[in-house]
Amino acid sequence: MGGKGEKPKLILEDGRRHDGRAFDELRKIKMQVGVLKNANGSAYVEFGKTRVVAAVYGPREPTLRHVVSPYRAVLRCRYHMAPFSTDDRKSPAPSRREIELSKVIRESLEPVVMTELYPRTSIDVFMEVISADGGTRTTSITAASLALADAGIPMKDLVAAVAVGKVDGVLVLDIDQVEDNWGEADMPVAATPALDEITLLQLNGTLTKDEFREGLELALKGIKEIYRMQKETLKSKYLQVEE
Amino acid sequence: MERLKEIINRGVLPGDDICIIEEFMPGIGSFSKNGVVRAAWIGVTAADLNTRTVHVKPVHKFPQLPERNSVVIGVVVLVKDEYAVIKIFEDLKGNRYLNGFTGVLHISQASDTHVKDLYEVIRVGDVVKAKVLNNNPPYNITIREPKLGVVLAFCGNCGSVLRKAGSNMLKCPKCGRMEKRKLSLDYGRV
Repeated sequence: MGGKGEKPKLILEDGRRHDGRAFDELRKIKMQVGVLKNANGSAYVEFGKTRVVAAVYGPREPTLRHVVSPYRAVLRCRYHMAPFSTDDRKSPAPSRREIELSKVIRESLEPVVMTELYPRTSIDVFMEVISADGGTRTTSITAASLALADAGIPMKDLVAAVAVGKVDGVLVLDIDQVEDNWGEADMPVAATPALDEITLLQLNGTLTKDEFREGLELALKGIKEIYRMQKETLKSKYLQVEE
Repeated sequence: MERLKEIINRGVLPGDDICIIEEFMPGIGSFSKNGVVRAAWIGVTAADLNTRTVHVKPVHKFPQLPERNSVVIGVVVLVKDEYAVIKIFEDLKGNRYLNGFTGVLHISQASDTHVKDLYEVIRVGDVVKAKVLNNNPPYNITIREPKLGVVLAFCGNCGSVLRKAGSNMLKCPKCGRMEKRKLSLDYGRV
């Protein structure tokens, strides 16, 4: 990934981005819930060319006895990229990056899932990246929270996530692979809009204080939009007669 | 009354606010944070005016876990001197558990009368009907009721299905072997 060939022009003369989006425009988003028959809950989320399937199993009896807690359910997350998801084949073995992202995603979901209601059980979330084009962790979080809601697991809010980047000195929303490779900064943010809490904040690269504030604002704006779409998706499946 | 109509019978998603805590306390499927009562799962709101709580009737099939006092069906996977382990697969309401849950049957819960040997009550491979005694895994179960006990058993000699032959006695139709069990009244009806 990355570092190949010449640096493309990321911001065109008319102020648009290399793929024609405005600086605060999200990619084309598609969401679907209940896509897998055998899982308790599942979701498919597409951000442009980034596609993720998430599945939730549980609360169920934990397969690993030593991880159980007598006070709450354990939330276990697995983020995995399919071998065919990237340009060069990716080894199917979980890489260092995937193990870390699994942990980061788990920690971004833990504040909303009401695990204390199901002691001595485990809730397992599996996220499979089918096609990767930047922003896979944020797409995975968005899909995982939809799948959790689809499974009927009590949660305080839905989590939505998006990344903000700096490319050619301009702050842009929802960066893709090209912008991630050639940009100066990448900042994934996950938040729970109704509770007004940020559950994930990472920053790769450098931003000034002011850029950081502006970027966070931009991300939260994007998250509100994604959150609205998540709710619409769940509503159209479960609460159609209503309103 | 106007306000009540606004609160109840509304489709809600996790995180949606239902009301403020002064109006109603959070019940099943809801929680409160900073004085606002919110939904915890997808469903329709309902209020209990006696206890002044709101709850969310889920659109999903609940519960997904065995509960206290629910009658479940399982298969015996291990019998020791004082306890037996039973894999619970479904309950009588028709809930199927995807991966099964572990239930533990202690010898004191095996029969109303004195039990000398747990092997005279159940054996590995038996299908049993049992009642759950607690609310989270590992589940403690009991078969100390006439309706509870073994509902299907196989011959230890030849493996064919055993037939009932008197109270708590089973006979193999193929090889004539007699076996002892704590039988459910519903033996043979699975």
